[in-house]
This record gives sequence, structure tokens and C-alpha cells, in this order.
Amino acid sequence: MAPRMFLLLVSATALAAGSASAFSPGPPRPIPTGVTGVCSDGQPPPGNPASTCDLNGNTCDAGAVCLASPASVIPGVAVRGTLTIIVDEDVSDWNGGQDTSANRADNARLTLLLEFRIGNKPFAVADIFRLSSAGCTLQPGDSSLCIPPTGSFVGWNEPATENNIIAKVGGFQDLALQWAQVNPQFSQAILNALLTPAQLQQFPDAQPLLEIVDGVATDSETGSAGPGGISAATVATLDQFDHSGSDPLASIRRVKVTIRVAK
Amino acid sequence: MRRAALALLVAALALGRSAGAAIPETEPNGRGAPNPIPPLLGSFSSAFGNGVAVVTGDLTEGDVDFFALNLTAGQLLLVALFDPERGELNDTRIGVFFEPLSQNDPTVPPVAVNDDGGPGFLSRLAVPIDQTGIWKVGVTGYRDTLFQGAHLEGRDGPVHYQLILAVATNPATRSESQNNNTLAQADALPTGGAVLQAHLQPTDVDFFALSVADADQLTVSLFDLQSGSFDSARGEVNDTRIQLFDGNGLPVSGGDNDDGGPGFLSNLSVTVPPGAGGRWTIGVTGFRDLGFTGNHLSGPFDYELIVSTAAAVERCDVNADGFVDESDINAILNARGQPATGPDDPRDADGDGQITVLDSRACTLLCGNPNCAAKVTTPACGSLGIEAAAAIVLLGAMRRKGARG
Repeated sequence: MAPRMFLLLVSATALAAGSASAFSPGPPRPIPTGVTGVCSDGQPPPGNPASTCDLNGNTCDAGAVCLASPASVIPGVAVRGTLTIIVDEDVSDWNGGQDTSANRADNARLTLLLEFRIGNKPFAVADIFRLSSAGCTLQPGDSSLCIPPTGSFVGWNEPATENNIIAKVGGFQDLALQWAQVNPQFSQAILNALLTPAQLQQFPDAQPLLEIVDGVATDSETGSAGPGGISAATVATLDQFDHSGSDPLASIRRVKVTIRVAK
Repeated sequence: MRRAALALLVAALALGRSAGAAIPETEPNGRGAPNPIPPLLGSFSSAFGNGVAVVTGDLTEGDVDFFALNLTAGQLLLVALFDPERGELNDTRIGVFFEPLSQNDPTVPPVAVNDDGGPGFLSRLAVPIDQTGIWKVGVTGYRDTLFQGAHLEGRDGPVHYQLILAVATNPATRSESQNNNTLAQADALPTGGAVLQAHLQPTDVDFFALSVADADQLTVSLFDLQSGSFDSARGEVNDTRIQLFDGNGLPVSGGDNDDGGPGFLSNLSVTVPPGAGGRWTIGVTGFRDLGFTGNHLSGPFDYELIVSTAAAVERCDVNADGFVDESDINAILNARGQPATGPDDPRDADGDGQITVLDSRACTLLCGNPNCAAKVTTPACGSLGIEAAAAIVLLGAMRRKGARG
């Protein structure tokens, strides 16, 4: 069995700023190969009208978001779910622990829990991944916990510290996830839940695609907080629980995802 | 003149309709132009004697639907939304506003709002009515916090929804009896459904019976009440279960719910299968009591139960003109091979989720003219005049919507 690899492919819809809580530079990719993005308003990316929004830097018009093209996904297969992101930077024993210990990098974990209902039945899948302070193209310091790439798989390029999964007021102070593609085992569990046996056979390369456009709110869409900005009013609506810093508890962020399956 | 004639006709139809029959939305119905429920915006309680109205609508990308109600201070407005997919895909937001009918100011927030209080990602909420007058209920997509249409719900196709609007009063106009603890002793509910107040305590089970017809859309929504306050406790403490039983006293497949929401409260929506219509019973109990024998420790608490039935969509009438003819059959044939948009797709006559030639054949049997000839339309300037012609078309549509399965 292959070593546990965290193969979450994440995309960043915003570029990093210089603040302590900033997020990694990143393009809308990595959206899976073969999946084309389209802007929700039907218009091409204004900065590169001849191209598509899934490519680096090709953001859509204000108010629009980049979605997976219907031609890239299996029609009729879609559910809405909740992706719960839990980060504990210093896994505790029963007596508790701190997020700032010297061996923090060895004890940091990221838990992903995906839940949805299909056919009036609940479905849940979760896994726990080891975070690293090396191997990712992240900023040094506070933002340097991630899942490094392994082989052909892109890891978690988004910095996965407790501080970073919690949105704060200001520019570029929210998770910049837009799409996620999870590791093979995680993916297969989702495919088995969503596809019929015939579809599994028909689409042998199928990959679940988590669209997080409904979960990551930036007020840049309305212009109320500037590009990439997030206002206090928006932060108040988010489903997040901050235990960063010396608090030994894990921090939690929940986002809604639309789950489709790339062909 | 024509508008007045239509309004009178619609009002007459509304008064003649049994409580709970579906009222279709009419676009455009944004925040500044809500659909009045009932049509002439009379008192909600007077128009819907059993306290419940069922509205059907379609939510499309960028769409917002608003409905206006004439309510009285002291009432409790109960709103529940259902879709055919049980909220597994579509994510709605409901807002309740107290403002002038034509007001459309996105800077004015709703009095109350709910995102995921219902089944799946659908919405459900209770709102104490503190002022007499016109209240609005807005239905939009999750992202649209300003109720202006900034959302992407429906991009996979229109979201066909049922909006249950109910008004409870204190003291209650309808309450459970003392001895409704068995299927045989179930309290009878009126046809079309009702709002009633009941009490649940440890070891207690409540049963309510009503008559349903084949293909009816039956919804059940439960809201617990706070102690000492006429408002919902939002299911934060009380944990209920509901179960439907058919005419033989057997559990209905898919007719049970535990935590449909909000909180640990229950709700469900079921389409009555062919041949299964008759006297159905609704059981209400506490969590753990899978057998509905009273094996639970929930309560004591009071609750409002909202039950509604509405006739399902008329099969085969694709263009919704109240008549099946060659235009409908051709529309079905042109869609062969496509998946149905949902259980309400009139093209999917056999309800198998696919539009096939079998659907066109089944619908051919329902044609109103020999050989499915086209319906003869009254000339616009004929003896009846355009006003009456329009009214007749509307009458047909309304009758179709109100028809029992």
C-alpha cells in the first residue's frame, strides 16, 4: 500500500499579501487535467478573453466565479455537501498541548471530513493528514504548514495552519480554496457513493471535484471590502471556530461544497 | 379591466380551493412585486381556514421569489421549503420582511432569515409576528444575502420547490385530543392539511390521520415551542421523530424522519404512490422510539405540526395549458433520451426519471381530442372577447393545479 499521501489539490483564487495571515500564491489550478473552467456570468476572463478561467490569473468579472464547465463533468451527478477542515498544530495527549511547541511541525495534523446526503441517506468520509513545514512553495513562518507534493500528485498548497483556516477581516484574509480534489482512497469513496456501477465502468478516469465557490466568501464580489477583501459582516456569517495560538484545541472551518464528477 | 377580471377570477378560485392546494408563483415576483397570498391579500387566516397554504415555484439562477401575506400581531409564521431532491443539491435562503409592498431596498435586512433549517440545504423557520400588516417571505439562493438574485442555484435546471406557509395562533385554533396515542385513536385532520398544536412528553406518542389521494404531495413539518413564549425553540433541545403509516397501518417507505431540521426537529415530504391513497396516519414521537411505542425521554414540550397536501403536477401537460394535445406529445418526443428534470417533470409520465417514447405513448392516451389534434383556441376577438378568453385559460390552469390525483 502506498504511503499515506495527502493529495488534496487545491486552488487559490487570490494571491497572497504580505500579512501574517496571508495565503499562498496560487492559480485557480490545479483543477484536474481535462476540466475546463467557465465564468458563471458566461463571459470570458477579462484579463485574457481568449483563454479560460481555470488558468493561472484568469479571474472572472466582478460578481462572477469560475465554475467547472458542464462539458467536463458527468451530467446529472451533483450533490451539495459540507467539507469540515480541522487543523491541530500540536496534537495533544489527554492532558492537552500547545500550538507553539518546538516539535510543532511533527505534531500538526489536518483532518478533512466530507458529509452529504444522497438518495435520502447520509454519507460521510474523513481522513487525517500529516502536515509538514517543508516541501511546499509557501511563505516562511506561520504559513509554512502544508502537505508537500508527492510524485505526480500535488499536495495541499494552501497553508494549513490554524490561523490560516480562520477568516479575518481585511484583504486576502480568507481561505482561497475554490476546488479540491482529494487523494485516491478518499476520491474512490466519493465516486462509489455518487456513481452507479455502470457509470463507474463508463468513466474509469472519473474524479470527484469539490467546488467551494459557495463556501468561501470575499466581499470583492460586491466591492464592499476591496479586491480579495472580507468584511466583518461576512466573517460573522462564516462557519468557523478559532482555537489558534496557545489554545490546545483544534481550529475548525466548515464550507459548503458542490460535488461533481469530472469525466 | 382585464387585470380586474383576472384578479376576481383568481380570488374566486382561491376561495373555492380546499386548504393546502398548491398556488403557483407568478413571475416576476421580486422583493418589490411579491405574489399576494391569497391573491387579493386578504387576511391569511381568513383565506386559509386551516392555517396552511402551499405555494409552488421555480428558482432559477439569479431568481428571487417573494410572497406577501397579511398577518396579525401575535401570530406565529411558520415557513418550510421542500424540493424533490430533499435538499441534497439545492441550497436555498428564506427571508421574512415587514415592509411596504413595493419596497425593494437591499440595505434593509430581513426581520428573520434562515439558510439550512430544513431538509438538506433547504430552509425552514418560525417567525413571531409582532406587527399587524403585510409581511413578505423571500426565497432565494444561499449566496444571495441581500435577496437581489446574486446566486447560482438552479444552474443545473430550475429548482422546483414547495413553499409551505402556515400561521399558528395562541391560543391554538386546533389542538390534539387527550387520547391520540395509538394509530386507531389518531386525531382526524381535514383534507388538505392543517396547523395544530400538541404536547409531547416522555413515553408519549401522538397520531394524526388524514385522507390523501394518489400522487398527492404530503408534507409534515414540526416546530417545537419555547416554554412561556410563543416562538419556536429551534430544536436545540427537543429531538423528535415522525413516521407516516398507510391505510393498513404499515410504515410508508421513505415516510420517516428524525433530524430534518431545524436542530433535531423532524420534517418530510412524500409523494403518495399509485394505489396507496386513503387514510394515512402521522406518528410523532421522541428520538430513540423507532417503533413509535413511546420508548423515549423527549419532552415535555409543546409543538406546532404543519401538515399539507397538494395535488401533484399534471402529467403530460408539458405547456401547462390545461390540455394534452399534439403540442405536448411533440415536446415529449423532442426530449427523448433526456433525463427528467425531477419528479415534477410533466414529460416523464411513468416517473422513471427518463423521457422516453413510452412517456409519449402513455400521454397519447390522455389527449383531449381524437388523434391528439391541437386544442381549438378561442379567437382573441371572438364572441367572448380577449378578457374572457384569458380568464378561461387561467381557469383551466388553476383547475388543473387544484385537481386531485
